[in-house]
Amino acid sequence: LNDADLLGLVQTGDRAALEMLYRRCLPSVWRYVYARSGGDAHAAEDIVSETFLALVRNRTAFQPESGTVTGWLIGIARHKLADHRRAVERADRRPLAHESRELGSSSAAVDTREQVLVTLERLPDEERQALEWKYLDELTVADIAARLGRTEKAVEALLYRARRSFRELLPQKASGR
Amino acid sequence: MNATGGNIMDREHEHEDIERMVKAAYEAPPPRPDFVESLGQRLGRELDLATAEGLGKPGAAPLTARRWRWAALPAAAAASLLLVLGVWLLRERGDPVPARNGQAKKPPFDIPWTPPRKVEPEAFWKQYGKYFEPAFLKRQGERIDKDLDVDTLHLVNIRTQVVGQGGTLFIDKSGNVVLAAPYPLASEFSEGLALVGTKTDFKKGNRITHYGYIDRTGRIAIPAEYESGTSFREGLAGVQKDGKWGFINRKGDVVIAPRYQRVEEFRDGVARAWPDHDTVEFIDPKGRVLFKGDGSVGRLSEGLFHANLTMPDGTQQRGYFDRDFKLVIRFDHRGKGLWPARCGEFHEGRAAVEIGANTWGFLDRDGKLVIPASFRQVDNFSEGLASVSMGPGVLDPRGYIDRWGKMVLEPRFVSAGSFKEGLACVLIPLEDEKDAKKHPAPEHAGASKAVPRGKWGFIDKTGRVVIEPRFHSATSFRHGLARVSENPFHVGFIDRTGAYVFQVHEPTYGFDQKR
Repeated sequence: LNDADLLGLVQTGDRAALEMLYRRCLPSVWRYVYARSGGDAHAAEDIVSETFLALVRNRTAFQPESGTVTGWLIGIARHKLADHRRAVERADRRPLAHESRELGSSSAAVDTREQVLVTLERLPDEERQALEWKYLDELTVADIAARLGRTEKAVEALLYRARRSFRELLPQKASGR
Repeated sequence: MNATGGNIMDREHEHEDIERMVKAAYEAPPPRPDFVESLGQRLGRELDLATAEGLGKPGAAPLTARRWRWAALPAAAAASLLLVLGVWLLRERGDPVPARNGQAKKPPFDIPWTPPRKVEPEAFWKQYGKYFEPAFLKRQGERIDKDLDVDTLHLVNIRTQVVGQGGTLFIDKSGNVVLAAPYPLASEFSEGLALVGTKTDFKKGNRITHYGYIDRTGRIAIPAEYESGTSFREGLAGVQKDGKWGFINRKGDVVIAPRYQRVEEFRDGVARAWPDHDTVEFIDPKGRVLFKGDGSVGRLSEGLFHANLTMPDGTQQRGYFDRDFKLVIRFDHRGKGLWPARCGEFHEGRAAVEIGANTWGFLDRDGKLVIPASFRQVDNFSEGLASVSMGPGVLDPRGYIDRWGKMVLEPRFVSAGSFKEGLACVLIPLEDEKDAKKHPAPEHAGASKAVPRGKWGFIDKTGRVVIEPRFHSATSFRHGLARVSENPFHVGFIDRTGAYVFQVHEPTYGFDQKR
């Protein structure tokens, strides 16, 4: 069953399907949120919780033709991250840690990391997802194809496009070339 | 080297570069096991609640009657098709996540992988189906030891794809199956009663529509006439009727009439209740409103709760309030007073507060910052220790501090749970050289070490590993047992020696079972 199939079962109230979908998507969502919350695990836990709760509450809103389930979840997480930033700023009247780091850091390594994150953010959801599954989850092309409900050839083409886009969008300084 | 060879080499280098950069950018420790487990359970409850509430209620996509008719047809057809497809796949493979090209699917985290054991449907149901037979269920109340505290039982869901087949098993600390609840949903016992969802409405998208409570004999003690419910605490449980929440007592009598959008369980004689989305009330067991505030009002813990209130005269009162709703720890952003960005609950006399950007310390009950803000990540204190990490790196190892901030277990764990019953689950990095070579140090992240790989094990308070790291996931000990898994399709309970007292493969996502 691919992710969209599982979400179909979740829409019918299937708790076991939800558990499986949650365990599949959690690593991607966790990584995305953690990296963008400046490595703040407390905030990341809050945002990841809100993201998955939004999935359950709006489970009928997903439209398979508009992307992958993980891509949809990442979209929700993006909004939750923005909400979180605004809330912290309101409460604290101070810019967030990672924002100040973006502006004022002198660390080349951190700068590069931010540039890579920004580049990944600019990729289409599906391309970013394919790179993450390939390099972070170490899924095979066959695994990715099964998860997306595509052929292996289509996934190879997707990975090719993703690498090309990444290369084109990444600033030369960050790529080290 | 010819041009073609050069291109291939360049491409390979480029792939490696991209791989290294992506890995470095997303360098992150795995989420805490307690968090993963509790969020998973919360999502399950939320789904049950959402399906019980129906698609037309807030939070779900609004459907007009006309749209609903049109939406229902393809949804029903798609669901049937998916079910048939799923059943076919699962029967073909005997594995809930079909393997491709003979390879088992990888685990979600970067942890050495134990392939799931293939379970034959007949063997599975022969082993567990007997507990849901009428003969067992009818007499289970007679077999239960009258001295057994049912609140200490652990539960595991056993289900197949056949609708209504299976249920929840309650096991004791020796791994014996003590009770079985043949319902779509069951929660752990609390104060001798367990919430169960008894009926699923197939016409309304498989929603659980009836919730009640079973007693220690497994019989329904409070009839399933509610749309949802909470566990019993301090003699009361929250229940939902006609969309509103109120409270019942152990006899099932309504003691606080349903009028709230949401409620929490009672603690220290008060409960938080939400009459509307933006208002929080603390109520007593008779339903009297003791305190009213906005969404900033935190949960009462050890007699204190955090709130940030704007008073009628426009002044701001922020800090910790006591059980009499007096501001006993005041935060003031003027002058040199503390003004934490975020505040946690009190546990063992300490509350975590974020002072400065993403740096945490701990307050005592007098509001004094007894542990200076020097930690990047902190957990609540439990059994005298709290897990923390220091420094700016996202993968900094975790250690444990005591209540005065002294590092008593040096940071060396990738992730670390709370101490419970003298033990804590920790993610221990592998020291295998081959493994380290497979994952070279990311150059772009400013980190000087490889992304750690590891397995979960358990340590005691001296830091000695008492249960060898061999688990894919683990949670803290509770009533003598810890829930662990060796892969995502396995659940087991181990005792303090690390031996399994109960384990099941493919516990919650079964297969088409013909009986």
